[in-house]
Amino acid sequence: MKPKVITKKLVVKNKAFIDAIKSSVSKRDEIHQEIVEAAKKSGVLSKLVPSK
Amino acid sequence: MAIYEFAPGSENNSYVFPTKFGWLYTVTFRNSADYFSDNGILFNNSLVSEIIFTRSVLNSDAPLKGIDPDVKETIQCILHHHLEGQGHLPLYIFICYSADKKEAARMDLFIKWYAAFDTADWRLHSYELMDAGESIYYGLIVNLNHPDVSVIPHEFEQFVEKEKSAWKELFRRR
Repeated sequence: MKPKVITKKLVVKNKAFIDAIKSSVSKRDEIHQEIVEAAKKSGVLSKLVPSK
Repeated sequence: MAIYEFAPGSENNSYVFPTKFGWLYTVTFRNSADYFSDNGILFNNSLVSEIIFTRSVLNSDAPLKGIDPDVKETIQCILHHHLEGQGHLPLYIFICYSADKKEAARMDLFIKWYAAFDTADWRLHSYELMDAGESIYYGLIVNLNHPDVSVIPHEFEQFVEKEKSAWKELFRRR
């Protein structure tokens, strides 16, 4: 049976790639907030909130 | 265990769900083919999606502490729901990198979730990308029926280990 997960370590030499990753990761919270605000405005969020 | 109700988010291919612990999660499948714009195999006809999980506090109340098992169930359900409709040709990537230095733990958690999930013909290649004293944990998920499955991991490893600086890339594109 083939493994589901294969792990490896790599030394990065492609700086353009690593810079692109870091730049993209830094925008995650902004995108998350946009989705959250839109869900709040549309009223979707209030319908999803579970009771504690 | 239960699954939280979720809904599509405003961003394409995104989902949102609140939890009873007081957190609000988003799961986004963001097109990330641009990472590989100069590599035909990895660019994959633009079928590359980055899986992003993010959470914030739901309201002004402090969230409850502890592990909420329903989050795992819900995220697995969203992954299944989304991947099922996309076929075997897309590549999926998952990146753990953050200022809080908890990325290794997050990747371990993702691997545990992934291993426990019925992933059918999907295989996760998990990489620790070492760069100047820090690590970025990177997952590449490829379907075993993809026509390039035998070359994609090797191509990715070469892509990462090939020296290329940002300014050279900028110059080349002009």
